[in-house]
Amino acid sequence: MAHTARDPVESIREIKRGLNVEENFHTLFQHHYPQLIRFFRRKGFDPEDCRDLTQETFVSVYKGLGELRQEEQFESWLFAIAHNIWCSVIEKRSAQKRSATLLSLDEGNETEGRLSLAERIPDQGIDPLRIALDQERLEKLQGAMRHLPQQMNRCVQLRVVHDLSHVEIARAMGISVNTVKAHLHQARNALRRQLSSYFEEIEV
Amino acid sequence: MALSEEFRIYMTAANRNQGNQNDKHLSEATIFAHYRGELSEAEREITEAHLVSCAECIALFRSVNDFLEPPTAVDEDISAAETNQQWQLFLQGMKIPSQESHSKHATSVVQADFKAPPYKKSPLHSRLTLALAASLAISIGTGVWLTWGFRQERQSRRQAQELSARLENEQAELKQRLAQVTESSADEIKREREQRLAAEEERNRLQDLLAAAQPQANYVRTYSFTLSSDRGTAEELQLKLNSVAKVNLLISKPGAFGRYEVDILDEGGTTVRKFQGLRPGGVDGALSFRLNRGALRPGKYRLRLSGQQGSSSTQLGEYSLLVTGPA
Repeated sequence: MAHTARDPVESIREIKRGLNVEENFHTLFQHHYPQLIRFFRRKGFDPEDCRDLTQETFVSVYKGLGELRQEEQFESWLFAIAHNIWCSVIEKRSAQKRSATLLSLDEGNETEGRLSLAERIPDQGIDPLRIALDQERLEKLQGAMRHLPQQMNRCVQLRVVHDLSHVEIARAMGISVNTVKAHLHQARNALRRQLSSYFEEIEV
Repeated sequence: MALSEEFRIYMTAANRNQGNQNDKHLSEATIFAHYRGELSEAEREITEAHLVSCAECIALFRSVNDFLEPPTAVDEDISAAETNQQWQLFLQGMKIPSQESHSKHATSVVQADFKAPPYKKSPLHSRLTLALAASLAISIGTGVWLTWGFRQERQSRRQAQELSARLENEQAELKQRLAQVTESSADEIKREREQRLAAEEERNRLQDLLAAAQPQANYVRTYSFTLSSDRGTAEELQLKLNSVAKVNLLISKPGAFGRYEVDILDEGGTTVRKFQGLRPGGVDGALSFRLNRGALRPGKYRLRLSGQQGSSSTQLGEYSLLVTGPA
């Protein structure tokens, strides 16, 4: 039996050359199986679903490996496959939710003598004063954010707007988690000082 | 609505108003490189700015983070046993027998299956595949060409056979018609010859009667012979030479030559009489000359007829001649 490569990139090259295909694919499987399981677990799937989705990912890898041009890009290619599978599952589940029973806004439950949904939702109307206040609060917030250092500003946005964790922000900004925590702490104090009269609670 | 939620909504609106500094979304490769700190300072600044303002790219970044983030304390351990178990399931799912649990023969089957079409071959394999495909195409082409050739040959052979059969039929018909014509012609020629000989005999009989009725010394007996091409040597010219006789030779095409020549040869082939410059005369274009008994003794001779055109002479026929004397 020929030499079996242990480096994943070399394994891919040998697979594409048709050398020790099973053994080299086994190497890839062992190397990336835990990574894929973790990926799907972090997406919130239960362990059984994670195993099924990981199997599905490896089947796609097996079928499409010949299309991979740069072996060095295998990991990002593997991620793209797993990500697409995850997106497909999300879409299927969303479609199942959309196909659930719809409630009519016009028809009430006559047997219980209750009002329809449309009647129960109050019409708040358009309040010009409220619009003006909203606009003023928004401008004050934008002004306060502009006074923050850029890195701190971005940390706040990633945290508040995109709901990233400290670790994710650290990875996105290329800084440590502690730096992220420090930025967020300082930003919270600064925003509270400037916006206390506009926002009762500022949580960053 | 929670107060912190209210602040988040305003922040989102502020972020939206800030706008996307780069409308083009980040690629997975770029996010990978950014995550690993492989981008330049300028690229990193652009990527960060885009991430902050783009919900889609942030979602993709979170997925990349979920994929690349090393195991943490919250992540469950994944044992080697589970990995191997899942590998076996993968092999079974692909309908590929395990290398470990099967014989050497089975292993070769596994590898053969793994080499199956899903994988794109290396340039070497591509060339090999191309060569095999070309060979297959040539084989198919040759087969088609041979089949077409065989079919054409078979069709040509069938056409040739049909043509040959038709020709044979036509030939048979022609032979039959020719046989009929030949038979008819032979009958006609035979009848004509019999009529001619009968006429000659009748004429000679009348000449004899005329000679008997006019026994003058200066009477010249006239013999007429028809020299057609079908007159054989067996049909000899009979000539009774009492004293002088006139011979008229009736030829089929009197105008073919300007002059004619008649040679009378004895049995040894020696010319005993020769008549040159004979011209067709009379209404029937006969060649006439005179013979006397002193010049030609009774006996068997041959009469040779030739046509003369200028200085050249062409032999036209040779006939038997029987000369008899007075009884």
